[in-house]
Amino acid sequence: MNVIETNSLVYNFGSKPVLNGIDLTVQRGSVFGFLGPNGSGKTTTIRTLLGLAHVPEKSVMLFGKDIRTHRIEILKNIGSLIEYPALYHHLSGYDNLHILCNLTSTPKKRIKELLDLVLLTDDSSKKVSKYSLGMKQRLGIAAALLTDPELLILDEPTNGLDPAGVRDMRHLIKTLNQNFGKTIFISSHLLYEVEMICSHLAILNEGKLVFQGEATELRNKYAKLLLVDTSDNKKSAELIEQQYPVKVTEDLLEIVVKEENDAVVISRILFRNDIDIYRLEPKSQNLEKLFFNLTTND
Amino acid sequence: MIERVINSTLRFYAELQKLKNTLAILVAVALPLFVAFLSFVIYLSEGHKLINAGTNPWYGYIYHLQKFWAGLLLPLTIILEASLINSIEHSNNMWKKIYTLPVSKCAVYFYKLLAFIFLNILTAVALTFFIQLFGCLLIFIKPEFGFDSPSLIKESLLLSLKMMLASSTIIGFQFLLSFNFRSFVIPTVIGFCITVGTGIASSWKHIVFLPYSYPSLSTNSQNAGIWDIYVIIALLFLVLTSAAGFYVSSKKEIS
Repeated sequence: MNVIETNSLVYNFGSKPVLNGIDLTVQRGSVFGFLGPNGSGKTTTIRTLLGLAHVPEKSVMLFGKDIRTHRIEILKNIGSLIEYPALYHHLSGYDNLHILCNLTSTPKKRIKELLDLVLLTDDSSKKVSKYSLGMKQRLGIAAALLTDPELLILDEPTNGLDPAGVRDMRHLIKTLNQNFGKTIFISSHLLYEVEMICSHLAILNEGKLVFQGEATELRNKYAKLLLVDTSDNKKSAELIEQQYPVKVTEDLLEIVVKEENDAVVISRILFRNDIDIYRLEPKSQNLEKLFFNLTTND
Repeated sequence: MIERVINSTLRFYAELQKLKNTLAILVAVALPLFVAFLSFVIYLSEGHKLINAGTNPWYGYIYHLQKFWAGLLLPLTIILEASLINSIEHSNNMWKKIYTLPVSKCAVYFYKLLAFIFLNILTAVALTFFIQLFGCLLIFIKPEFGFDSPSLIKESLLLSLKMMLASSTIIGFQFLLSFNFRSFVIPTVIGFCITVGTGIASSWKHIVFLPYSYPSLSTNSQNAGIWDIYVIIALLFLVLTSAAGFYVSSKKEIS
């Protein structure tokens, strides 16, 4: 079942279109990465998912229901963290969660469970203004989990964190998905992070989806690289260049190919020209490079 | 039904919890204390000129103090409180969290407004308390003034509450402004300008068209009861501004 479904979602900021017909599908139980450069419309999309921005009827469906007509029912099942965590800085971590408990009629015992989960039990009586950014992010996650929602929407949750904070956050997201069965929708521009934790992803550029599917599908769908080392790299580059884009790096040739059997074609070219092949191996591009290609070449 | 009452009480309590460690409670109590203390000092030094022999001194003491309070400090307290209570959400960027909770958008406005009205009741009660406290001190410090007469505590409290009710327009309008403007300055300056303008126009024959004058006008009334025309009109304005607030809240987009 799809937890999130948007149908030709459009949103304009004044007369300027921000989202141009987005069809997003997020399956239950997945960790869904939502990628895009700054200003591509990621946060706006999240705002529409949470009912913070007005959208046409039936363009945003969560758990099979329209956010326009079933807002409260839907929000009972969603926890969110949008950009920097929104917290009362003049109050303690415990007080913050207690207020949210009272606002949502959640039993108070939930506070202790969540403080334990995000490792903030010892600091719960400290004012939030004294927290580090990492601690604030973890408290923000605890606040998002307060009503035990099925879906967590996290907007740039690792923004501004130090490496240890990023690692902790990654661990927490994995735990929530694997141990607690939460579906997690996570937006980020830290592609390396998304690649490590997401099973599915979508790439947004200038308000349009340029890719949506499994992370492995993305790598397979787009160009691969062949790393080649020969007895005469200069001559090899000249020969291969006639058919494939080639980049000479240090002692290697990086050849951009489309299909698996392109390696056979290249080896034949080299063989016919009496060039010995020392090394020929595929190198899949990392997500960052693919993302860059998708969002700049289109 | 019982569950609904419990949930409503919890939401109201949550709004009060947010006031912890803020200036809102302090302002609600400190300004009445300041005014009552000022009046106490004036009576200490100039009391013999202010008290009419043979009458209960509490009448003049309460009336003069509350008249001054109603004309200037009450509107300023409301303006400041309205900005303070809404700045808790604005400055912490909490609206985006509040509006993603499974709570109706109108309820967001309603419970915050309720907490704000509670603060104003607290101010009215604090004013009465401090008037009585300093009046009682005068019994011991200046026994010749005759403050050992009946202290009119009931009348004093009723007058404070009446002024509070007559200021309902200010409560509704300032709350609506502060709810909408992220800036602390804009609603405060608007409220301040209207209050000063109303003060300047106090002798204008059409002063009744300026609702910011109602707390002051309601203290002029000979009607000893809590209800008069100013209170009723002010409450109607509160209903109107609240309806506007519910509409604004239901249409609010958070960026």
